[in-house]
Amino acid sequence: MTAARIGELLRTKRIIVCCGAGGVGKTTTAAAISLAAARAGRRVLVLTIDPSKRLAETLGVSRNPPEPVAVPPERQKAAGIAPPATLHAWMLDHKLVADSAVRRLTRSPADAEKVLGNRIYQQVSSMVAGMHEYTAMEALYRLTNSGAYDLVVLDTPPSRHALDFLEAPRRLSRLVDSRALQAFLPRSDGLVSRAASKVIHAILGAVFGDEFATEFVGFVGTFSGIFQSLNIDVNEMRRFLSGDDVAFLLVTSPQPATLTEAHFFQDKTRELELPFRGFVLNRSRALNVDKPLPDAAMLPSPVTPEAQSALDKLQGLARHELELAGRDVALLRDLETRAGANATAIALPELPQGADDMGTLITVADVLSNR
Amino acid sequence: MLRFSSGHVNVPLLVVEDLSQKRLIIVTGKGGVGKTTVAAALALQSAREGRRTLVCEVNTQERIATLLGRPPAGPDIASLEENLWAVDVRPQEAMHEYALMILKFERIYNAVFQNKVMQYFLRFIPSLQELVMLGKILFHLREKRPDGSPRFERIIIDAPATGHAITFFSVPQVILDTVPPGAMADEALWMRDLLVDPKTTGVVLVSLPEELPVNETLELAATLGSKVHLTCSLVVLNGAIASRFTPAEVEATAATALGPTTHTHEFRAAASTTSRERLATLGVPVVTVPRLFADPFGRKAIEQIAATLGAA
Repeated sequence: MTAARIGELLRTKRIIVCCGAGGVGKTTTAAAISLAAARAGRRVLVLTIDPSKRLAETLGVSRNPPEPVAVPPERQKAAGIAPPATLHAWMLDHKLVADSAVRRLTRSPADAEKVLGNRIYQQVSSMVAGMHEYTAMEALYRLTNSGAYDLVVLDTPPSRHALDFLEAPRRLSRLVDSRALQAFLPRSDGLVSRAASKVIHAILGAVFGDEFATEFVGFVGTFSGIFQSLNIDVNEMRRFLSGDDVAFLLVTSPQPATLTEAHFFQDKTRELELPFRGFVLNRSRALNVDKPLPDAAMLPSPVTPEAQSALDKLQGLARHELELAGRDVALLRDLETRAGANATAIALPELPQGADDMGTLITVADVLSNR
Repeated sequence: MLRFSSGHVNVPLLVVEDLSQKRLIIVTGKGGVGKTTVAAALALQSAREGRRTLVCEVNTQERIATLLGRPPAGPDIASLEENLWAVDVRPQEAMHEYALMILKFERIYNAVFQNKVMQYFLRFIPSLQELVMLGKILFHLREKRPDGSPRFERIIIDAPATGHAITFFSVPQVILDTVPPGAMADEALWMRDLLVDPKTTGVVLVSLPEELPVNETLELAATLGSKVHLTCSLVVLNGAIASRFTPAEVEATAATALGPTTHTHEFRAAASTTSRERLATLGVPVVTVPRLFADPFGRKAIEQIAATLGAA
């Protein structure tokens, strides 16, 4: 039942955003979702961030291509993807995306070079919180609107909080709050902001040294034009992400905080008016619950002493596994209840860490499409 | 028959010996390998050995206090039990504390840091958040009690995962490279020197008994060494599978319906042994923590792991 509903998302949505904390297998899940959707006949692009080496190789993006590339045709064929359906992939390099945004948004190439060459920009573009999220969203927006894909699946930037990505537009709008910006501009007209600018410069000078303060104020001055353009983009992206053809999924794994995390995530999406559509419970042993227990009937008679002692040990192991599986089943039910009428919950199996070959992706895609 | 626990754990007598000299222990590794569990277990073990221990989580969904059966600590240091304290280090609170240390007066802090424009600006300075969080943690390392003894004899950081850990601990160096001499650069220099001092700081890398996590651990150890100059003191191989079936038992079930299960189990046990051997090439002790079949996320599990680490 739940697999059918995930299947429906795969067949109908234009954008699926996979959120989740680090270490839950979000990147692999995003790739498997994309594969399942392409198998269902759609032209799919997966935007992946920081994939394992093997996943990057599997998808054919290990050389970090400047634009999305098709997964090698023989692999698509082996996975059961038939034209006109396709699977493309792109590894998001936030530095690349940020640089190209600067080039696009500055008034002249000389202005662009000034920003790109700024020591502070080089630090900011790679380190400021929000920059990764911004670049991911920028790429999502552009590539979805390119018309080349029926579905774009976004693997969100790594973070320890599943909520970070949802907060990104708000954080960015704060960042580009023009009133705050005025204070940094060297020739500001407002009396208050001029005073503030002086105070800030004095503090900066005291803490960081005059040279840095000057460079920083210069940087903000040059960058301010870009911020103004970003401001429009951010609002538009917000609208774009709240559309009916978008699905936000929380990828999570069984642990004590899972339900709390699910609760926060749902609340946050509601508050931001983003379309929450489901939980993916990764690394779940829930699927093992129907596995037959080892039994003497599975052994040819007469049962040798070695076979008997092996069976005893296997039964011991199976009892533990069953207990864990039972717990995961209960967790999945709780998530289903929490998901409510408009969303769904699905369990994916525990896989070897980083075993991101095509076979693994197909295994997961099979579960997603209920094969 | 947990073969590895009898056969291989002869080296790690050195583990505690070496690690017990460190005042700052950084626990890191790939996401999802059990860093937090290991950090909690190390902290519990350290406290039980009689050391006043502070365990720090860094800007995350706090878990350690809960794992130990206590309410979350939050951004203020909270006592969990005898000799054990926990804190969830968050950027905003750390900024407040840290700025107060530099500016000395609350009034100036309020004037400067509560200013909306200034707050906007502070978010903007490259790596400032990381710097103040790291600064707060390291500050607690030099705090003294009235009798002159350190407030905390040991601090354990449940650090961010691989790539983030490298960024996080590189921050003092990045600041040194970006910011000209001044108060900020002095702080960064002090932090950098403390981190790279092998007498003070030890890194514990957590890994899983599979090929790719082990690859990543080996790479991380190399990068931490070459880029951040942090030295690894201990590797924890988490979730190891012990061999359970004798060759005769594997043989006896091979052609039956049970064959795949015994085979898979022994295959994973062999992968655990191989992983252990590969990790041992780092030249530091490797402690093996068996995969827990009981509830892996409760006080009981942490106690079990702490005992394994303590016995090693």
